[in-house]
Amino acid sequence: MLFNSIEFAIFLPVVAILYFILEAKAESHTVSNIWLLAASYFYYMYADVRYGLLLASVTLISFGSGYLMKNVISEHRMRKRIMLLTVVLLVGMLFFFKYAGLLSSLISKESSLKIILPVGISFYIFQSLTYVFEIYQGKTDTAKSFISYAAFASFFPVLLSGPIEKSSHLLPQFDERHHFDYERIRHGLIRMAYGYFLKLVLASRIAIAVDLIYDNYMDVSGYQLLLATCLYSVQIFCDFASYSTIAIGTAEILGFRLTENFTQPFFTDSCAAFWRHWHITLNNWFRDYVYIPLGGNRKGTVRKYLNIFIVFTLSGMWHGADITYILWGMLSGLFQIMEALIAPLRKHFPRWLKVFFTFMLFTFSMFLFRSDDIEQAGIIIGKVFTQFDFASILTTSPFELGLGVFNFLYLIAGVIVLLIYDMINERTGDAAAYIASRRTPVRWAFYYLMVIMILGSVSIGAQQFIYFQF
Amino acid sequence: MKNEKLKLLRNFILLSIPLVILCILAYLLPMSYMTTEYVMWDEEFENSASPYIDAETIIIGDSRAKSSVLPALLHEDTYNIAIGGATPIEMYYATENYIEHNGAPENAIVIFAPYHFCDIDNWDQTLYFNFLSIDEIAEIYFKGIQTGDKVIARKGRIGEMLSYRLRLPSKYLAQMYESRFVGRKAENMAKFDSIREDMGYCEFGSAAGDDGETHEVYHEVFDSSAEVLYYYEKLLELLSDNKVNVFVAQPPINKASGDAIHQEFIDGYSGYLDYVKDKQDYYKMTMLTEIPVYPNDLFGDSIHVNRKGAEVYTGELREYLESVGFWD
Repeated sequence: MLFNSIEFAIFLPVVAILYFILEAKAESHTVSNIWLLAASYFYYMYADVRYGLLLASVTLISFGSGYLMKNVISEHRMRKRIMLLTVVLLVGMLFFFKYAGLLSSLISKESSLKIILPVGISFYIFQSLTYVFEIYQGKTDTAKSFISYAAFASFFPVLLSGPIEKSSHLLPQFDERHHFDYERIRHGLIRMAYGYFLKLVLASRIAIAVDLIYDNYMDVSGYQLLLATCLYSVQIFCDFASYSTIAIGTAEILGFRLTENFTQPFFTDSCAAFWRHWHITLNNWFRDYVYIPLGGNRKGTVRKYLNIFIVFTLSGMWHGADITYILWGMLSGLFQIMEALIAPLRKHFPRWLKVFFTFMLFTFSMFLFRSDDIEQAGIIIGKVFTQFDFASILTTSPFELGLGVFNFLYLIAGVIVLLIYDMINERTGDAAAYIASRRTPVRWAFYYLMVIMILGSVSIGAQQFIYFQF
Repeated sequence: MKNEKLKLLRNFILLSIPLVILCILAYLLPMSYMTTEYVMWDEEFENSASPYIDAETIIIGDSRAKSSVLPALLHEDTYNIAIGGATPIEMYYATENYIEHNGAPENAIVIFAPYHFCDIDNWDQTLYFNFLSIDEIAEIYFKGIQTGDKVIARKGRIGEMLSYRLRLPSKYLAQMYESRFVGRKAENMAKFDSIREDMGYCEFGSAAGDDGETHEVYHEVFDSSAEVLYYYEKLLELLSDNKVNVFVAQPPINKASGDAIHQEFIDGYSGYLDYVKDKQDYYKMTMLTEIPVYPNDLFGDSIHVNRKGAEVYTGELREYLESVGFWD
């Protein structure tokens, strides 16, 4: 079920209204958790009934492992073995669904396995693993009940594309009562509206231009390919940040606080800072459960660089069973290492130049991320460097990017709104709260601006969210 | 708390106003913003819902029936109620509604392109035009689940059907923009009048010839849709139950397609029609299973005959029907 579908527009109010009724009327909080659990499974199985079995297996394995480590086995070595066994099982599952098809096709093209990648599997397996790790590290207590754990592991707002929540942050919230709260719901709705704005007004429009150029990559100039890739950087931000924002707003309506996943990454002035503002929960996951256990920056500079490289290579692998993703991850790691090496030189650059370089380096890595395969990526990068065609900067009309005049101007208006919203966010830390605190005419002007801009965009071939494929 | 809930509800209603306005406009002004394809559906919708025609003979079928038979040249008191893009599914309900409001005709000529028994390629258009009622759509959907149809009962269909029914902007706004909301009204009304004037006939392709290949060529075998066959047989039963004298004819294809069409497809198709003919005792039914092949210059596009082709086809059909005493 997509966030931008009519099914979800019916699903969410039904779930929220019944949840608040149960929270207000039922004596036991477990009843509302059962309702959330049922709603989450319905949400997930709406795509494919078989997915429910997989989600249940992941939930049972991680819960069982946590239970054994906390309540049954006290010996450290045995607890470590259980933790490792759980990691092998869950990561093995992920590996199987992501890589088995690719590996079998490498062995034999005729008999390659046709395995459907269950949507969201990378996200909920990583979220379940946080529970296992945190129990092992003694950072969190076991879930108070299996129901609250299962509701945490399958919580529908984060199920398909994150944010990847740590159990110590989200799980205790399933033991709290969440009642109807007008201010909180309004705040959640403003966030959701902004999320839809990012997806429908910006990402869907930019996608038209990007797809048009990438579909004809052999016939366009290097400049046009670079322009499309710069636009793709913005598209993927709008697309993914929109999903996270809608998820955070949805959870907030129900009374749950989720972790921010994007905090103005394009305003950062270094690659290292960029990754602290982009897909924050995944990067935190890798930092806490891979980078730090590998030694982090405690074992010397060379080892630190190696650890960064390993973490980003794994992050690339997490994204998909394609060499382009692995190379993208490696490149992202290499950029950070290079940046650290030239740090003494960089500090003399003005901030705007560093922001620009950061954006362009990210965009360069997007050549790999956006291309269908390594061959296409090679051709595109080659064309950018050898067939740039400076004249096409002047001859390429922005209205010829598949959008037409109206949609192009609409997009520009959308970008202005995005910049204003992000600047408010940067200044106040919470643009939605800032808007909610304004006087009625200002507030309602924003509401109607969102409604009208979104309505004016709903017919722009709404696409699936990019990160669903991971 | 109660006040806060009411406040939220009030705000939600206030914010929904632009959405509601767009839905109402989409509902009220289809002839003003939709493309001309809609006109024949609208015309058919009006025919089905009002006793306007009450013809002695009706033509039932798809775009090839619509563009191949000129009622005025065929026989007196004949009306072509075929619809471009329809399969036997839509035409079953169109005929049922027609009979309900106009009474049963004495004769019906049923013409469908063979490939329409295989592909339901316009189902989204049917939903988009809101030609069918909710009950009818539900009936077709549940039949689709039974027959395992991948178009009608595909995942997410319920949401789509609801979106079309509610005239949500996600489905209609693009065409409303394109037409500047009311920009197609004059063109559509003119088309509507022309269809009425031609007793339901509508030209699809107006070129003076076409040597492109038609859809049937791409089917190696008669890989039919169980859902379409079900409705085709139901349509014939409906006509038989209402004591309608039925003639099943085949629309022409151009020479280019005739040369390329797979024999196995033709055999499968005529085998199916033979099976239908022998399946039960119909009130009165004559069936021609041979697909006529016409010269390329009688085609307005690769699929449909042009007006000249329609005159030839209608003439041949009239002669044949007279020879077998169809009107007697």
